[in-house]
Amino acid sequence: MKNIFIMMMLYLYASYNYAQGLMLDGFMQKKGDIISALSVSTENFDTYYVGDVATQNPNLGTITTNSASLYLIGGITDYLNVVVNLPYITAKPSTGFWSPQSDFQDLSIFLKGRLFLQDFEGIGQFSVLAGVGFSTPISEYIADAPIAIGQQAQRTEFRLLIQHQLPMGLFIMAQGGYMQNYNVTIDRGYEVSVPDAFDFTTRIGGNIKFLYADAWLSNQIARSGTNIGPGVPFPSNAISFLRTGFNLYSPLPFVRNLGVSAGLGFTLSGENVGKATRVSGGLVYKLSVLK
Amino acid sequence: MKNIYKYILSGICIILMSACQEDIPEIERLPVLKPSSANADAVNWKTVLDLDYQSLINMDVAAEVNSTAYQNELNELVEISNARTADQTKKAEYWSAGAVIRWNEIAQELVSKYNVPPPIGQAPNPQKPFAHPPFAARAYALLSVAQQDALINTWIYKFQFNREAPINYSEEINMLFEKSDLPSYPSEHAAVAKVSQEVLSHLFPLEKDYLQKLADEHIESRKWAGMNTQSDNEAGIKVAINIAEQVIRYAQNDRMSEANDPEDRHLIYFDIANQISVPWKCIELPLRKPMVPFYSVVKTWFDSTSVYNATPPPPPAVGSKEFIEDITYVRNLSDNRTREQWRIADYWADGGGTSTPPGHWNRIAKGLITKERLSEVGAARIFSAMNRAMMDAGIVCWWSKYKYYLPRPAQIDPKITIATGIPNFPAYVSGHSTFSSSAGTVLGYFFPQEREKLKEMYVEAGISRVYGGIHYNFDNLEGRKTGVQIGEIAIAESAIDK
Repeated sequence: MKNIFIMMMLYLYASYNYAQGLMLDGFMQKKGDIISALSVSTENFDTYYVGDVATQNPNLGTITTNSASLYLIGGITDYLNVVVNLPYITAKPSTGFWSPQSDFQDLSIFLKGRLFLQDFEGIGQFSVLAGVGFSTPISEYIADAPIAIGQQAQRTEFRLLIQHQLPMGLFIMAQGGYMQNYNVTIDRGYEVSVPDAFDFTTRIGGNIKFLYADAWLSNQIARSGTNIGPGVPFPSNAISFLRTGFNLYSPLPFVRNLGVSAGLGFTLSGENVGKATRVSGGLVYKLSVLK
Repeated sequence: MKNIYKYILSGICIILMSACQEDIPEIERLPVLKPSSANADAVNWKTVLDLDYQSLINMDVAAEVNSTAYQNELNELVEISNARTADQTKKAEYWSAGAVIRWNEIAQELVSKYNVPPPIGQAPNPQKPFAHPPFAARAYALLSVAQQDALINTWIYKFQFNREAPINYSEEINMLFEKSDLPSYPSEHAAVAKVSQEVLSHLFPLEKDYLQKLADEHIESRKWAGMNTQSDNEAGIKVAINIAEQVIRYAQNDRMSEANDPEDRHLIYFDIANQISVPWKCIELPLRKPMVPFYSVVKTWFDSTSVYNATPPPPPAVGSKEFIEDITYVRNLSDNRTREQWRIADYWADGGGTSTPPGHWNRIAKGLITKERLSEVGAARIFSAMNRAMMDAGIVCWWSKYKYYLPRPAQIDPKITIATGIPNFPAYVSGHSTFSSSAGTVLGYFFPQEREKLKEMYVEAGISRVYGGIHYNFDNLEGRKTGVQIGEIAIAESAIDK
């Protein structure tokens, strides 16, 4: 029973909407199992970092970004899963004249494989996973403006993840990722580079009866890039941040295979990114095509 | 078991190492300039400043080819060109794309760097100027006027002394590029490097050392390449120093220092309270003084009466039927802005931190000039005509902006959204439209086969501001008319030379 719930826990975690990679979780779906989730979130910030200096802009006020995302995780085999994510995002300022933006953002497809799994008698299960993913913008959303929903960059992402799960259901996970972002041609008529970034995340979680909870800490470090400034194309900004948050998940009592999730996220520090707070909620549904 | 980790770790390392950033070239690679014409007729072209340059310059007679002095120079050139390092080759190739072209790029780079509004309430710092579009238009004009006058004089001496390329006198010189058919005394590269260094140092005093370093490298590169001897370079420098002095003197007296208005004197000067029913006001926060209200007092390059005759008629009164039609058009555009309209707004925006719309037109001119492989003097002449036209267009445009003091669309209808920043000065007429149509008209004269395309470009640059939600279409249309008129004035003056 426990394991089923844990397996249904989605990584509706640290996935802020702008310039962040797709977090993977350390659990594998069995062959033929598909988990689908619809998640909505709202993020807002009135403070953003120019370089690492906290700044406010009275011509923008508070920027609110809402999103609705569809996630699918399918078990190709017990050791190889495919993960798909597609968000629809809207962003708008509370004041000033800048036009709000809304569109589908980037479609991400990940392959996640479990490389190693070892049961240790009495101390739980240790596993090593790796993921490789590709994401690509699927609309012509605007990338080079104070209000933008993304960077318009294609991206290849590599992740390595280790997880230890204790017998009582507690788990601890650590992952490192590398995001290789490709150049984009901006509306000004020339090509700019989008900085690559490293990403390190740890998460600890577990359950008390039917309520599952976890807490995470995530650090993204841009390898290069510019600071926000006049004339500087936004996609080439060096976006780094330290964020934290937690999530709750519970299966619904009367509906089989359906659960709800909720999350909160906070930006502790950053560079060239909004000091955004994120509230999210989602519906999670599991279906099995082979059973 | 341990092996598995090893494999995984080494696999990840390989992936990370191979995942490097794709390069964006910072400098545009351009071919070595092989002019399609030597422009020997440039000795008869008119300089912009009507001065007796010959007596100011008082050029030294070129040393006889057989003289010891010149033979020593040739020997030096043999030595230097045969000891050329890979780094020197790279630098010489960079400058060989064209002295005028490269210094125009440097000017654009400096304008971009200085195109940042000073902190609110701070007095303008002449050491650190705010390179906004009117400042930039003047900077490009001064630079290209200095280049043109320096090159016309250089051409005069070249054909007066007729000293051939050094390779013709010493075959041991290791030339990096093809031999030039132009007489080599004085060096046109040295003249452009020095005159540009001086004028840009005057405009951007904090960049003095940087510019000195560039000019020194540029001038030396001609020796590394085996193209010019020491006295070729020195003669070029001599021309340049004299021309720069005159152009800087012109700049010191063109009244640009009066263009700022920290005390809001323009409200009295233009009698805004009595003349304007709904006056423009700043709609950004915190409030900022409008940009150079007295740019219109600055000296024009072309006949000021003709320039001011191009002043646009008054705009439709706020609230009039025509005005409401136009602002409704802007509102509809902003409510239903297409992706392509956004792209056009952004493409022509050239806002803060960029080389400004006049800089954009310098890039367009550069493209045409390099494509046609124009000589240095031919290139300078076109840049000079275009940049003077843009500055005069800016002057009459700024006159109109403050004379009519028309609010931006979003001041009247706050529901209008924007796709580009709202400039902090009155709307009528559009600066983008006026600058662009003056430049496009001048370029259309020099490149007649491109005329239609250039017209499409300045029409698009003008409408881009309406797409951006920051201008009425009548700002654009009247600005275009004024710009075309200024362009024609510039052509009439430039055409006298031919």
